[in-house]
Order: sequence, then structure tokens, then C-alpha cells
Amino acid sequence: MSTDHYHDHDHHHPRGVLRSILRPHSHDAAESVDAALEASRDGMRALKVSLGVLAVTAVVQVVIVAASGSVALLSDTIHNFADALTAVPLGLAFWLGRRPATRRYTYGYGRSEDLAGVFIVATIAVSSAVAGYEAVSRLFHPHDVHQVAWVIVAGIVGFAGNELVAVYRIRTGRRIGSAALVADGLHARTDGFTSLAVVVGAVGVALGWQVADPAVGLLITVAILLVVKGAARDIYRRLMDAVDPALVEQVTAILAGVDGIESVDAVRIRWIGHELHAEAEVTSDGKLTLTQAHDVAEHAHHHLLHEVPRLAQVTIHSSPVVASGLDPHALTAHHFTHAPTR
Amino acid sequence: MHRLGDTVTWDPFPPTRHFDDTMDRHDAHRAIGVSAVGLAATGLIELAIAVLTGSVGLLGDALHNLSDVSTSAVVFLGFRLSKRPASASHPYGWERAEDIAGLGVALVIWASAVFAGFVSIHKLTEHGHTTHLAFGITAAAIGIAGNQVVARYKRTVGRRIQSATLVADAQHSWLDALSSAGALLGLVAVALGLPWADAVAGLIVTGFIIHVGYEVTGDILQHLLDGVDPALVASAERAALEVPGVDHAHVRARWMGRSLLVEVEGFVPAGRTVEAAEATGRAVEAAVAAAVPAARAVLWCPRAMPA
Repeated sequence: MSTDHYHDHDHHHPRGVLRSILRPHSHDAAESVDAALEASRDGMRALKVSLGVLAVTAVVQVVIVAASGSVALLSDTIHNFADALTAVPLGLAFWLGRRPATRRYTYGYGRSEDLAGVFIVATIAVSSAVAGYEAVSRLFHPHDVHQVAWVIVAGIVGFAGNELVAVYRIRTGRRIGSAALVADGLHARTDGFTSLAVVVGAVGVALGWQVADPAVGLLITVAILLVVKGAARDIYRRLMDAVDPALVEQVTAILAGVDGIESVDAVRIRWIGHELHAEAEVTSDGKLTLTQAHDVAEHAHHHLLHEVPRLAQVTIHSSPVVASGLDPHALTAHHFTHAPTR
Repeated sequence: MHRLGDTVTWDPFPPTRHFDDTMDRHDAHRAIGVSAVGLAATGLIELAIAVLTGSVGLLGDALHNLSDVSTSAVVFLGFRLSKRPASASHPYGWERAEDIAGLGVALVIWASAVFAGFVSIHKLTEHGHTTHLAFGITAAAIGIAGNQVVARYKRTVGRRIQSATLVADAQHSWLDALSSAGALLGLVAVALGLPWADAVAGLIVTGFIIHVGYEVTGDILQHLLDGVDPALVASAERAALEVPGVDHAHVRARWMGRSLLVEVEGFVPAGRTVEAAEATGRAVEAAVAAAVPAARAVLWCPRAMPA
């Protein structure tokens, strides 16, 4: 998270103040910034480790392919290699997200992570289409499976490697709040499903039940579609600037309890990549000086950083309590028709 | 030529229009509905004649036009969704739905490019035949006319109501007209005795589709990444600094659909009261709204200037 002001002029530059706004308490804010950076690092590490696991899985499969000479297995292995590549845009997004804000991207590059998520969801959707197509084509053109034992071993290896990666990515993604990393974990899980389908199909064929292969393939297609639905919904929500309503309630309640805040008019929270950014409109006594109002805001900010995990930035806008019923924001008020947050 | 978003939405118009959302959306709905019907008719005529003539270029063009209708459905859904008021789960409202619909439009353009390229290469390598050339040429001409009318209509309405999505859609219709022109040229060349011309024309059209797809995607991605034209940020800062009592200003901005949200962090003398800062803020909001016509909401955050 960039907190430095980007202008380079040094005359009367309120850098200290700005810093104190964005990193209001040296210790807390530093913790918060560090936490954000650490989250990106954790995400990167999850990607690297899981890429390693997938590479080992693929190498084992290649060895089995060489030993068995099975063309069907070869295509599954190539699929595994190709699918691991969704980690590339995601890694790029984690790296981009740590870059400071610019004049064009005034909120930083955090949202590139969610766009990487779109790419991952599209890849899962294509995978499900391919799996469905293959299952249907095998239904009409059943083919013999040779070297059933090898196929089963390779399938189990593929399933184990992918599921391991899936659990690791999903867990890390949930912890650091990255919807895209969770989606990539789900992607690995669907690849594991596909390998499992190969195993079940091969067992069926070995038992002389030819229809098992396409039937399992169709079941797996449906399972992948269910997974893609969940992942797509999460990424869509991030792109929509949607957020858990409980979070808005929590922040509203915390702000309402801060001394010096008379009322909480609006709270807006959104995800930028794996960070939460909040913006609050509160009222306070109009006779306070800005410095005093700033102290109130700092106090509120402090509470929020302690109590809301993954919150990276808070902007608190205090306006005077309106006595005459004249809303100072009448001009723009109807653009933010707020939920009842008072 | 097909820049969207920032450049298009710069068109100045009276500030009172900014807040007239209901009318805008009504216009958008009508523009999308009329265009969809017109394009569907054009596409179906082309499809029938493509089957008759065996022209792969015309077939691709027809399917491309019909895919536009489904694109319009996506855009329509985006407009419908974006009308919803903000809620606890969507504290910023639903306007981003338009950007996501725009992403859908971009994906359809890319899919069209892949399809057109595939069909053309297939025809080229298989040496496919083309018959009933007069019908084919007529259908391609209908394709050009239909798409030009629709593109012009959507672009006019889109610019007036500042909808990047609608303008993106207009670009797509414009590209359809180009693809019809390619099909027309190919068929004329076939009539002149060059049987491979249909497929080659298809390939050239594919290149145009890729080009437009690239540019449309860039603009939509920039919106989704919270990117804005830096000139816009600079002019908002200049406007804020011109208000008496503002010593320093720092602006952040982003698009949500057709709305530009501007956040002004303004530094005022530390001794000012919250009330005084609020009065300054109202002046800043007015100044920024005047300087940046696309701004639909200005959030003022007063800060104490260090002594």
C-alpha cells in the first residue's frame, strides 16, 4: 500500500500530516501496511509452492506416460501443465498490487488481482466445457482403455497433487482475503476432479462396465460447473464493489461508539484486491477545530484497525452536526442512497 | 479512433444533465432495444442467404451480427442492475454492473474474432465454393446498411448520456459494418473469378475485429482497475486549489459505470473549525463539479495544514 504523497515539490509539503492520516498511529499503521505487504508475500509464496507441487505431479505423470505409452494420459498431463499457468497472471497481479498509486491509478493496482480472478474463472469454465465435450464424445464413441493399472496410478497422483495445491491455495486465499487465490485453488480442485474421473472410469472399464467412463465424465462436468459458479460469484462481487453487510454494520457500530462522533451518516467499504478500504461520513460538533476533529478521526481509525481484519485504509470525513435541517451534501446525497446505517 | 471511456465522456454538457439519471437510462434502454431488433433482422436475412450461397464470409458476418443481439442483452442487464440503489451489501451502489457488462461485450468481440478467423482458414484450406453471388452481395449490402444505422444511433445516444458501455457497443456495431463490407468485397471478387477471395476477405475482417477488440478491452479494463485519465485528476486538483482557504489538494478518482467518483483531500489552515472547513468543502465540490463535468459525486475530506 502506497502511502507516500506523489508530488515531488518540497515547499510547505504536508507530508508529515498526510502520513499521519494514512498511517495515523505509527505502530498500528505500520502494522497495517506490513500486514498488507505480508499478505501479498503469503499469496506469492502460496503460488510458488503450489507451482512446485504441480510440477512434481506433472513430472511423475510424465514418467508414468513414458512407462505406459498411453496417449490418453499424455493429454491429461499436458492439461495439468497448461492449467498451472493461471498462476502467472495471479502472481503478476500480486506483484502489481504492491506498486504505489500513480496519477492514473489513484487507488493503486490492487484490483488487478480481481481481473486475474476473471481470467481464472474463464479458464475453469473452458475446462468444464472440454470435460463435458469429451464425456459426451466417449458416450457415443466408447474407446478401450489400455494399461488400466498405470492409468489408475497416474490419476491418483494427479488428484493428490491438485487437491493438495487446492487446499493450500484456498486456505491462504481465505486468510489473506484474496478471492482470486481462492478461485485458483478451486481451479486446482477441478483439475483434481478430472484426474479422479479418469481413475473411476478406468476402474469401471476394468470391471467391464464401459459406460462408467463417460458417465463419470459427465458427473465431473457438473461438479466443475458448481465450483465455477461459486468462484464466479465471489469474483463478480469483488468487481461490483460488493462487501459483506455485516462488515458495514461492524464498522458503523465501532464508529458510533467513538467519543466526539455524533452520528454516522454513511459507511462505504470495498475490496481492492485482498485489502479492505473504508470510507465513512460522520458528524461532529461544528465548533471543533480541524485538529480536534482529526484527533477524533484518529481515535476512530485506531479502533477500526484493531477490530477489523484486512482493513488497510480508512478515510473519515467529518462534517458539522446540522442544526437547521439543511444538509450540506444535498447536491450529491442522492448518489449514495445509503442503507440505514445510523 | 475507437477510444472509449475517458475521451468520450469528456464531452462537455450542461451540469444539470448530470443528475438526470432516469432519463438517461430510459434513453439507453430504448437505444439498446431498437438496435437489438434491427440487428437481429439484419443477421437473420444474412444467415438465410449465407446458407443459400455457401459463402463462409457471409455466414461468419451473420453469426457475428446475431451475437451482437446477445451482447445487447448483456448490456441491457447491466443497465437494469445498475439502477438498483446502494445497499448494505453494495455500499457503492450497482453502477459497476455496467463495467462488467462492458467486459462481457469485450469477450464477445474476442470470441467473434476467433470464430471469424477459424471459419476463414477452414474455407481457404478446403477450397470451398460460393454460389448465388447476386443474393450474397445483396445480403452483405444489407449487413452494411443495417449496422451503420445501428452504430450511429447507439453512438449518438451513448455519448449524450456518457455511457462507455453503450459507446463500446456502438464500436462493435461499427465493426460489424466493416465485416459486412469485407464479405461484400470478397463476394464481388469471387464474381470476378477469384474463388479464394471470400476466405481471404474473411481473414482481413478478422484482423479488424482483433484490433477493435484490443482497444475496447483496454478501456474496460482501465475502468475495472480504477484507472482514470491523469489530466482529469490534475484539473480537479487545480479547481480545488483555486478555492480560497485550500492550501493543498490531493485528488483520487475512479469510474463506476458512467459515474466518476472524486475524492478531494484538502489541506486548510489548522485553526479552522469543522463548520468553516465544511463551507470551504461545499465551494470545492462546486468548483470540482464545474471543472470535471463527468464528476457525479465529490467527497471532501478536510485536513489540517501543519503550521
